[in-house]
Amino acid sequence: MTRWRYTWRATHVAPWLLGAAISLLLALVHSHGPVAAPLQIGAFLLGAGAGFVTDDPAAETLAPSPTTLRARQGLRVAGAALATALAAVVLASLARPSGIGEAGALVAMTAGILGLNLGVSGVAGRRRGWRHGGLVSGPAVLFVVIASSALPPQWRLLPTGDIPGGWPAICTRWALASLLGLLLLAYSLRDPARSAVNARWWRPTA
Amino acid sequence: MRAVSAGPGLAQLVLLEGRRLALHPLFLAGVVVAAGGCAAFLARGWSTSGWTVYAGFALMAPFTMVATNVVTLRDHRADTVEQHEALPMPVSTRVGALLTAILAPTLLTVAGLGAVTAYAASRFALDEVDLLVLASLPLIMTALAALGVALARWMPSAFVAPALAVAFYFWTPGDDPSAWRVLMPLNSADDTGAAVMRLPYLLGLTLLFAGAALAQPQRSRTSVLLALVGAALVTLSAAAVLT
Repeated sequence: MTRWRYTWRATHVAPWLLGAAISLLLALVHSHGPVAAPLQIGAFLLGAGAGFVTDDPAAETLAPSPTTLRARQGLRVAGAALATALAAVVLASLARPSGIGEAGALVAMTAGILGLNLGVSGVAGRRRGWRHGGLVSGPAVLFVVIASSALPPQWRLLPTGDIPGGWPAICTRWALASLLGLLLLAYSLRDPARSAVNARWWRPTA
Repeated sequence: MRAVSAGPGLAQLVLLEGRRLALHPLFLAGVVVAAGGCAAFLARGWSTSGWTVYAGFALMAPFTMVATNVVTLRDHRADTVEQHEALPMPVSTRVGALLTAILAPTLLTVAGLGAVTAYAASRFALDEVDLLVLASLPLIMTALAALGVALARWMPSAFVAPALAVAFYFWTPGDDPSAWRVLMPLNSADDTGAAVMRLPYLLGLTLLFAGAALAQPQRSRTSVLLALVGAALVTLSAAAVLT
């Protein structure tokens, strides 16, 4: 619990909170209109806000500490994922989708966008320092979604509208996007001090 | 101590920021989107896919907005706000240089769009509305780029501009024909009257956002004048578009 408290204190949560507040407002204002648009915007805002949680100005100072990068960032990411899941359920219940299919697709889209944001954020943090994740992730995911929408419907990897196969196909594609993002994040959180050569050939003697 | 003359310093800053903007990865991402729209038109013709030229260049504008926002927020990211405020060149000159540097991506857009429009006009019959709508694209670019600078001055957070870009992307072509959607910057026009009035509307938005950017942290005569002229243009042309 102490670790959670310290992590929360050091995490850049303001963008996520702002995104959640705007999403909630949109869902309330549009509660009698079409369901998809406000929830899609909400998914992007929550995802883009979650991209900022990997930003850590103290990353260089904390790098030599016994707590690994994966443990430090993992707590932040877990917190953001839990909060986003809760927010997605609240938004979906406020917007009242037409059925379980649409609700599932919107939740899968939120998970996909969250996963992609975290993945891009992790890669950007790994390559350019742990201050650039949030800056890069939101625009990068928006670009990928726009690029995907230019493809014919059957090839759209990140669908924001109807595609052949209906709700199950939409859910599957966004779930795969989420998985891809989380794999990228996991890869970018590997121990920076652990090189391939060290891991395979070098064993410290007692 | 008096601030140094803005002349040569301003020109150098404009060149520096203009180059940064024109080579910024987010602006280049927008160029890719615009190129995709042009490629779709070239593959399928004007009658089927002429709208993709507009959509491509219109979607380039939010990316340019985020790029100008990121460039303006560089001081905040690098924690050099106080250092730069200690320089003899005033903040308003640096913001003015950024606002002038917006012309770099705009001129690149005009060049690309001009080439595509000239090709389309030589091969297909473009009507008056098509030409007016295409002519509004560079103004959309300047308006949103100035908005990116203004957002960075008033709300120095890297989250705000991408959030607004998402809103522009999802709301502009919406199925809901609400009156206010007509006024969204990326929106197109269906008739000549609306297409003509969108030009001063977008120019007014540019001046309004530029005035707002210059007014932080200190209001000057220039910023107030820009904001007033912009607000007047926006009000009059918005009223004409809506009625």
